Amino acid sequence: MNRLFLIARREYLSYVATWGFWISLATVPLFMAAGFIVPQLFERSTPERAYVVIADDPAVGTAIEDYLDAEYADEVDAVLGAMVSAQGGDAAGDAYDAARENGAAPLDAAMEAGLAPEAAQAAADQTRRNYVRVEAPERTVEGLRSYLAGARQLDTPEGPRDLHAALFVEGDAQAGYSLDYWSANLSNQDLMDEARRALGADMADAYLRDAGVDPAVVAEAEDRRPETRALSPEKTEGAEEVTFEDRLPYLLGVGAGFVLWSILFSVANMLLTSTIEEKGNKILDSLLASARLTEILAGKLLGVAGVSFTLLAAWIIAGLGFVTVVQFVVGGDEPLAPIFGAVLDPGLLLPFAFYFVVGYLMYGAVFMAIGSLCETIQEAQTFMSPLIIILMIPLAFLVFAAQNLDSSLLAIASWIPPFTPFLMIARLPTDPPLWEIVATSALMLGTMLAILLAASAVFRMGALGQAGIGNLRRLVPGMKS
Amino acid sequence: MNNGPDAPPLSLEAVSKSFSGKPAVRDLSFTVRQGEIFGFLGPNGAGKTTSLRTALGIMTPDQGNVMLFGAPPSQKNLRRVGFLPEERGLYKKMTAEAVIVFFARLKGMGRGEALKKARALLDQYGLGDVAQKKLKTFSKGMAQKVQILAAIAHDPELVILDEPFSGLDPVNQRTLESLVRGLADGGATVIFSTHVMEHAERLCDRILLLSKGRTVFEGAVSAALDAAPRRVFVETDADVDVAALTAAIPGASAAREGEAETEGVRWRVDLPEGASTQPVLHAFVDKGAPLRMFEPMRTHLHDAFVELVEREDRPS
Repeated sequence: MNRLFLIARREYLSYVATWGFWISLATVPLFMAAGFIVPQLFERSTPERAYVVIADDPAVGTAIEDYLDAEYADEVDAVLGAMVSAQGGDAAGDAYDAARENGAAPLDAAMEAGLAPEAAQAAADQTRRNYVRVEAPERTVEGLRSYLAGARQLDTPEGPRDLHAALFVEGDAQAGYSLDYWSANLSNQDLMDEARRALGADMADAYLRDAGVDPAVVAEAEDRRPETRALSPEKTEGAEEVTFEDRLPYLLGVGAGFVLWSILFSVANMLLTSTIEEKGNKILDSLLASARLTEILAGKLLGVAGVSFTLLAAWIIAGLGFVTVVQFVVGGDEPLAPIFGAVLDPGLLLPFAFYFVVGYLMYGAVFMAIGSLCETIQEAQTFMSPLIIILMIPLAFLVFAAQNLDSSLLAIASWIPPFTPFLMIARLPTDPPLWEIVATSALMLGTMLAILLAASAVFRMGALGQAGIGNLRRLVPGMKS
Repeated sequence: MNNGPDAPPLSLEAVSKSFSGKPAVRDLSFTVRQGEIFGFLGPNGAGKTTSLRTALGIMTPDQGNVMLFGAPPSQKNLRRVGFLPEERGLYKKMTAEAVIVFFARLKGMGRGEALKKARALLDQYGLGDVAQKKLKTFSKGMAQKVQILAAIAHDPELVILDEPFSGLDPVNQRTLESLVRGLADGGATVIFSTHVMEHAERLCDRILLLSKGRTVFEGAVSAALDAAPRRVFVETDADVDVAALTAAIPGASAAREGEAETEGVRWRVDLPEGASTQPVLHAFVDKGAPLRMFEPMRTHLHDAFVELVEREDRPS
């Protein structure tokens, strides 16, 4: 037992007692933060792009400009609405909606709902206009070509600026517009899409007017929505409405499947590389003279399991921290307590631990056995490819499961032992029959035992140099090189 | 079965081991006595490593018995053994001190005791300054020294060293020879395998010569040397026929080697194993033949090794 502990401890410390481990751990929250911040930074660093509209009818340019203004107002509305709700609760949110319905501008509505003017202005400033219309210095393509190519700059009241695009519009709303979009920026054609939608809306309005229909009536009609409630018969009478809290376990089940997959994949790779290192560095012979093969196997598995628990704990802390930051700093509309409660629910954590242990032993033993046959990572890669393909299958199922937890295909796939840990943890919130949970678990445990026995035999042969990757290649048809 | 305190450290009885039907060790029997330095000799592929792995219980023999201190190999009696494998290596990211402590603790030493011993050994063998350095920064010779220290840190009663001298420069080979003698002087039994005979000749009390998985010799080094043919180089006048001169000596054969360095010619006289070189000298004296140089070659274990292996290979 002491030897097992020593081997496990050495294995654990070989990862955890390195700067690289903690730096890579720190990158998890950094990546999370980057995923949130980088799009905002992009948004802020993108310059406000100037465009000109060349059309016989000046109303065309105004229609496009109004359309873009309305889009911008919607964005400001969404940001201010979320901020008002986050800081003032549901009552403030309702007040904001009421003010908006009465025609107040988003900024005014936010202040009316109790948001401090400075905070409201700061939130509104977070949302930037992407495009600004300027007076055209020339009215022909030839005249604008040097501006569009960046050789010349526009002279505007705000100073000189580049011309992003020129929109040449012909025709009218009744007969139909034609749009020529000129721009040297080939990677971003959002403005063309916006202009097309603006002109399309103008054409639709003209069409409605010709048909004797007031476009405002159609817009009003389109805004009409039924009051909708999602209810569950499984909830207590009088409180049947489905909330975010009710949906959370399903989301977390699928999320747990993804996390389990990520961790198992990471730690199984650790076992592979560590075993290859020991084989390549000729350490196994020394270990075998000091400890039983089972102690070496179990010690390594235990040590790396410790690493994975450290990783998991760090990810959970980082995840909950991220949720908290988003909630308090940026503003969100979901309460925190249910999220924390659901993540730390033993009903999720205990099955997660069970599926982790079994999945880890299954995949870890296989990866270790392969590692024991290889002297280098390159040798291992030839055999790893088919294994990784097998590992990718449950990942594909998980993507599909996010919207189809009741799928019979998912239920069938969860019976395949190598997939069971990932798919059953996702299915558990749907309350599958107990017999199915027990039967899939038994099948998975049996497979795990068979894999452990086979992997131990392979590990012994590999560790003693009696077998190499060539032996595996002979066993697997088509693997010759 | 003798498993008392006087039980031999290692005893193999009729041990055979095959891999994929190919025999690696065949009917191997020997006993290593307490306190001796026992050489396990043989050419590459003779079965030395397989025998040692079997002796340690790392491999199970197909047939025969292995006894370590009078009992089959187990984690209990393996604690009394220190092993340096032929395929050696260490955790390159660990420090010298940490790796010695790790292996000593695997053998049952307490942490404090292991740490104290590791520091003492590293100081004793000139590695005290690099005790806290990672092994990846060590030269091959230094790393090998650390591994040997890791194998003996727990003060084993039996030390098994598989090809310990390979990869070491002459200075470190001499250091290792001293270490082996020191272990034996301290009461430990030492078994080492090698295919370099000089080390065995200098160190071993007894040797076992293995060829193609079979024992071809087991006994004292002096007895092995007796198996080697004797050879004498003589220089004499060009008109002296040494072949005729030594024809009367049983088993002797002489061959002209060429011109002598200064004057006359050089002859080589081969004698049967164990024979004395004195009859050659007597032959010159008796016939009054001039003798400018008489150089009996010292017999080396290498010659005995070659002779014994070739003898084994010769069709009977």
